[in-house]
Amino acid sequence: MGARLFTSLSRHFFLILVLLFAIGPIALLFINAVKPPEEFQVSPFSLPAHFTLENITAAWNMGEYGRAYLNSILVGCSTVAIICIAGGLCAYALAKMDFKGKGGILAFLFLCVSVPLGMFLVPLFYMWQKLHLMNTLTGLIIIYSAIFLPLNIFILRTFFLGIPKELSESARIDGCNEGMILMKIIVPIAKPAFLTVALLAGLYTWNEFFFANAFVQTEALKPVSTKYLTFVGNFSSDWSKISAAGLISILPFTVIYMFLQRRFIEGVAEGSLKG
Amino acid sequence: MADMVSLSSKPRPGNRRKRKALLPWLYVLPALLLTGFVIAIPTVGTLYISLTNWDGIRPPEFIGLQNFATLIQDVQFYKALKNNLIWLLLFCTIPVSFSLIVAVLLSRVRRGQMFYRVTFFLPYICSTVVTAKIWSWIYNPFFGINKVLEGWGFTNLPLWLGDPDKALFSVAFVDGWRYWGFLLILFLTGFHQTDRSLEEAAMIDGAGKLRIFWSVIIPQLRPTLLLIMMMTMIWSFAAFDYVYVMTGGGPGNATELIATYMYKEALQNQAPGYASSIALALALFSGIVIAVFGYLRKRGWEI
Repeated sequence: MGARLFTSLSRHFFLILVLLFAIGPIALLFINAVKPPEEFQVSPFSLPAHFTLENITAAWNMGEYGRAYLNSILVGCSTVAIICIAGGLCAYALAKMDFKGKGGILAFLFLCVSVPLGMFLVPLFYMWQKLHLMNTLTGLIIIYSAIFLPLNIFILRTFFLGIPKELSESARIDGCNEGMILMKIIVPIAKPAFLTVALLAGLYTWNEFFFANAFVQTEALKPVSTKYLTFVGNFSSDWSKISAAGLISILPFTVIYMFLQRRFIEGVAEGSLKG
Repeated sequence: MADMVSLSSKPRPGNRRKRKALLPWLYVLPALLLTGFVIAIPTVGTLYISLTNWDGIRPPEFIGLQNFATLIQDVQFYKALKNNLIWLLLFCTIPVSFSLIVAVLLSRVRRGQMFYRVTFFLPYICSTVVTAKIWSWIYNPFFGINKVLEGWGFTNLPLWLGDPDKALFSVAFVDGWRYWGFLLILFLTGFHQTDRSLEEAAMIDGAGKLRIFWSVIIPQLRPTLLLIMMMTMIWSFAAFDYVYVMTGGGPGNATELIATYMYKEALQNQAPGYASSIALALALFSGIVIAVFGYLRKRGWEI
């Protein structure tokens, strides 16, 4: 019994060390964001002796985060909506309908996931200039919808494949057409899968910066991720404010993650195991 | 009259059949249009642009394979390629084995397993731009971790990001810090599908812990392990975020990767033609990895 307790304790000891390693840097961001700058100068690695929200309000105003939040929310919601609709329809057809070319579409989508982003960056950049989509949120929404679509189609398709055929067949006998079956039977059952897809697409969109950095230079249109880079560039010496801006950037999804952890974790695992 | 009726009613079943054949295509159309427009067409575009001399403004001039001839003599490209290969070696060994060890330990923990899992995965949720800056600050020799270490009596501390010999490892460490939690999740999912009774049987037969790990757990995890290797290799070639934010490829070109080099050539040096040939080289490496693993998958993951 004693030996068992010992292994269990040493296991936890090791895991707690790993835990400190994993969240230490993020904790550092949190504690320095709510610490007065004077205190930060003296003891950047200790817990705050005085608590203040001043850094956060200052960073919010200096970094024009209200506008950045609005941009990110707009881009995120539109991307999620497009992915749920276009992805849901496509995944449904690929899972539940028989037609020629299905294998080809699956192969195409698999190729789309595997192509490195750099492979289409350059022509896309000049296409967007020609189409006047440069420096627009619409342009960003179209890019994000497309690059996050294939993965989410795979997740939705897997879920749809698990729905028994009998359900849609009995509905068909009752006189439902394909559209009604999709809306009245499939979508309600697939709600959890759609939620996972929405969360993942939302998260990836919120954090994305490869394209945001190249395609949106207008300050007023920048989403939260690239706005943070601007902020760091402008106030590079003031780490209290930079911590606060970082906190502002990661807080929404950290909070959502705390509440819906299981769904995020399972979604990410499923997405990559399918892709 | 009778003929008219039969004529007008006859095509209906055919129409319905046609509509039924069209319906799936109607459903997949929006997704195909989007991915085709944003991914497929520009990807084909890259193939063409890589054969041109182009500054992004004037019409591109066709020069055949000249960009590739320049590429195979480009010292900067080789430096980036070498860094990418070091990156790949690091990532295929350290985060993979570390997350596997933690996954094995974690699968034996009853209380708090979910709590550990959630916190280990947190770095993956956080924006890379933000975590990159936290680590840049930690590495800062004037007020970061070195200050603490000095306080503990350490001297001659490395400059981390400022030292050309250590910068690449310092940045890779940060990317690994984010990446291993993701691998942990995949390993745990893989464990879920393994047969625990085999472990118990081996234990009854008197096998030691290490023996069980190598002879019972690892063989069962083989598909997960190979998938993780494939993803890690592809991502190592495409690595971009942390280098771009933390060092921008510097000092000098000590941390330059293929993706950051391409990004620079395309957007800062106004050489989209040349950048496209770099992108193709990048795609070639991922293509090789995918082809090899696709072959292995067909053979049922046997090596």
